[in-house]
Amino acid sequence: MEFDLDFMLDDDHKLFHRNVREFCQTELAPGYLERAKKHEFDMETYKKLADFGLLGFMLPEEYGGQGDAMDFVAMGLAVEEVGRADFSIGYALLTCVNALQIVNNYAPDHIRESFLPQYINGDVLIGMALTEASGGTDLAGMTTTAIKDGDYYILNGEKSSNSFVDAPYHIIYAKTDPDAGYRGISAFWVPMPDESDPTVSRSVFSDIGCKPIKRGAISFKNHRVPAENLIHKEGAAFKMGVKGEDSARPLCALQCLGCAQAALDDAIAYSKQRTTFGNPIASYQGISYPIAEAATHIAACRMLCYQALWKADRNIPYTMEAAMVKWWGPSLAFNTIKQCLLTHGHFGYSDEYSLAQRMVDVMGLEIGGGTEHLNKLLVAQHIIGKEARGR
Amino acid sequence: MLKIAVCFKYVLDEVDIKVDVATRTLKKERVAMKISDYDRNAIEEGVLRACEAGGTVTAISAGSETIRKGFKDALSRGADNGVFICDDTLADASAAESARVLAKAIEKGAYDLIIFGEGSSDMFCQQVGPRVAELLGYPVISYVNKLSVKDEYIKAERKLEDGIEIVSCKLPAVVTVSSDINTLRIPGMKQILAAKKKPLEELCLSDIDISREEILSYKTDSKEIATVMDRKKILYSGSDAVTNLVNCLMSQGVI
Repeated sequence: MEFDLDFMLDDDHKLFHRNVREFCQTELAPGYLERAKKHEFDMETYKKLADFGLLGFMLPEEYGGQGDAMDFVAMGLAVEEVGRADFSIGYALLTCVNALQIVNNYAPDHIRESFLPQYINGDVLIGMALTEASGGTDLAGMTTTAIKDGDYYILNGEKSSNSFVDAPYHIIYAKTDPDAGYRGISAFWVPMPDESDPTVSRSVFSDIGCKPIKRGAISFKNHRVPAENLIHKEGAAFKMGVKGEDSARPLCALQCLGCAQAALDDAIAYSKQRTTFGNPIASYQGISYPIAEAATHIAACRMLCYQALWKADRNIPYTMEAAMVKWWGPSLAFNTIKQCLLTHGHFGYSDEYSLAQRMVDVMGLEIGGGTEHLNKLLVAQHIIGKEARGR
Repeated sequence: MLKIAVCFKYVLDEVDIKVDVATRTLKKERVAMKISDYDRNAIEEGVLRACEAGGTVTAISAGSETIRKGFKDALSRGADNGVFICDDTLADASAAESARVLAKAIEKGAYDLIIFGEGSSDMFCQQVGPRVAELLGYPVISYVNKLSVKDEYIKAERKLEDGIEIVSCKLPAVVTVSSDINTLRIPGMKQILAAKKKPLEELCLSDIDISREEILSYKTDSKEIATVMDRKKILYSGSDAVTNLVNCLMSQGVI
């Protein structure tokens, strides 16, 4: 396996990194724990991301976007710092690299022109509904249908485990050709009607973590969507979605690593000031060795994430690296935070500390955005070859 | 059109500095640098006043080559252009050296309003602004936490220990600003990239009629060591212990 050494943060990225860390610690970190416990996405805090320009990633300057000012490495720096400050708000940035890129690159002009300025300004959220109760990893097995009827498509079925389920707009993935596997999947721009409309119902799950992002289900019963809201063309949705997955995976991992780093920083500080038997607990190897191990693993995973994003910026294939960090990063983050909680002893077990919240927050990304199993399969296929193709 | 100059100092970031406990010397290896905290407010204030009254903002600093990177940050914060007085003899310059050099550069640029932070976040001598004003023969208003510009005059509120003082004077003038004069906007990637396109004028000492010998004549022998703060070791006991402790902590500004 070849490896690359020719990458480092240039002065622009270093300055941006410093600034985004200051922004996140000043504007996002205060109140994280309080916000994390509510089933409500704080739009006021979210809008601060817009003020800083983070919601305009790779979106047209004519709509207030960043154009090509921010590359994937810069986005990685931002996602890591946002994850460190407020994990759930980090999900809003992930939306930039999948849903928003689909809208910007493939949606009809009338949708781009009306929606993009609102989104970039932090006025609205958007959801992207691919998965269903019967198929998360198995996207080709989705059962929601979109059948053409004159100037409309009729949606029937239920999407499940979708973030921001109460957002006013969703990209809905449905089969326009139920017999064509993944080639029969199409994507639609669907403005959500008000609650009185019997053709759409939405429900929010009672999750143990990431409550503010309101993961839930959307059910369609003969819901009519204008044909002009088809994104790109019939049968193109699977490839559109997959294209964004590679860039999303290192960002998911960095969001988790940022959260783990915050926990590790707390554990380090605690270990220096908490004393037992007359010594700071940091002097005991049972405390310092796990900290050293966690710091090592985080540093290694972080480097692989940024290598993947560096390759993304140069159009060098990075699917394998993306899959590596997606299965590794969230799992590593969860285990690190758990260890940090234990370092805090009985204080760590209290929900007045952020450690338990961080732990359940990162756990969501061990599942969402591609499971550990799927990503290990992708890595195996890259390394072993077609013999490793799953059954 | 109003010409505003904002002078900034590029300093070591104190959060990275470690102390050798045995010798009390500061370990400055691998310490990042930053624009001095109050100077960031000074730049922001210059930009706000220029937007309000119509004008330009020039970021000015003096030092060795190591401070060049500070201009990217300054320009990304909204300054229109930069002036960099670059010479190795200006490394670790004292307040007297800095003031002499900056005054000459400001005189050359014929600025109307010159803004400094109230002090640098490393030495916090709080001298450079008033020294520059004295050298130029300009009025100086220090510790400003509110500033406005109208026609040829500025009006400033000064936050003093026992109250607020409101003063005004005619331009050209020097002000030093406190950190609560404004809320900093943090530049994003777009502003950082745009900074590269802004002009940066580089001056050597001879361009401002100063000789190296003159700068060297200001040099003094000095040494920095970390202060030592002993624990107070105050013991409160009895039924009023908690109340007395809380009162003490409040009087010390801890809570």
